[in-house]
Amino acid sequence: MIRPLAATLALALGYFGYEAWLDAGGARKLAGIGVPAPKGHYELRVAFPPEGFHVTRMQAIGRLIEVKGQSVFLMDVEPQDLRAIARNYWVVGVARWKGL
Amino acid sequence: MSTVLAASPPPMSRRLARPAKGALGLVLFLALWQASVPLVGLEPYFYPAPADVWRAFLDLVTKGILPVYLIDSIGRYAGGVAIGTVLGIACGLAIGISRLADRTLSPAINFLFAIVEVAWIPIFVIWFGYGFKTILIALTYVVFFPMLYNTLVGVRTVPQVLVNAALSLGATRLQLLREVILPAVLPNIITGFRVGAGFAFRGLIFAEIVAAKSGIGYLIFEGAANHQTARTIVGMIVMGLLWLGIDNLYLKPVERMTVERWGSVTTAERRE
Repeated sequence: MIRPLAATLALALGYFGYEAWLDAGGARKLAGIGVPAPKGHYELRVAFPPEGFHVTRMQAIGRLIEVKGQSVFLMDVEPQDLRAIARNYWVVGVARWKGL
Repeated sequence: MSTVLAASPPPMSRRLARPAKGALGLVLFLALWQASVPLVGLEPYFYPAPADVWRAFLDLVTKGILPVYLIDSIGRYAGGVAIGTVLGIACGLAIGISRLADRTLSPAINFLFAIVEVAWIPIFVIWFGYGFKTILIALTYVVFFPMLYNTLVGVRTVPQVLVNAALSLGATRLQLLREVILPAVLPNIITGFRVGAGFAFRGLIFAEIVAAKSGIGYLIFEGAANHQTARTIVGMIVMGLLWLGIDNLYLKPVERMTVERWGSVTTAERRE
């Protein structure tokens, strides 16, 4: 019985550690910018040219205006959605954007 | 009746030898695979080398795709297996114990047993949409039947003499269930769980291919559809490793423990 329990404990620790690491990363990326309520416009920089996986997740949180190189420009993003997307380690930077 | 399988744990050298042999086999396989690539002479799209697959793995991790898909798949699998197990055991016990439940539920369950989950998934997609709910229900369905039938077989093979003895000693129905039937049925439940968990794992791949936009099954499908064969192979390897982990860390220890406790096999320590 020890092995399943130890495996579950290790998995839980790994998972929560991973989530905590993502949370810390998200907070760090948003530390320098003001996040206006209820919605704001942002430029999200990705560590590589974004794929469908990343674009789909960004489309889910706001109006995707443009993908230019490694930057994705989004409008009308709510603060909690911005925090959720900024947690991802593939998002390397977030900046306010004036919008269209 | 008891059979002594092991008087003492195997020595450390023997315990280490088995993984070492496994690792050697893996290295040999990878070397042969890598060596075959120039001989086959096809584009990486058709026949990727282990190095291409490794690069695809690193790419999927760097881009955050693999962790998300892995967590999604594990969550769906764990949820489906847990719900299917609970429902299967409950129905198996009810049908095994109650004649009314047997007559009421058995025809419908026998009917549904013939309809595999593959046939249900398109309907589930229409009812519940793409994603978590559909896959959860499909996996629950897959796990339910092995759990139910194994539990039922277990209940029906409990020696009547044990039931009579408990009843003659004044056991209530609940005590009979808790003290006699459940312990007797547990090895069957574990067998059903092992079978159901295996079926669910195969079901997960299919369900994610048809009804999801994330997960390891979807990665396999998406990789093939987008001519990213190395990603498809990464998905297949992750699937295999995931199953090895589940089997070695959960299923085998629980099965071993159950057999030692309730089966006909025991260790030397238990005999003493």
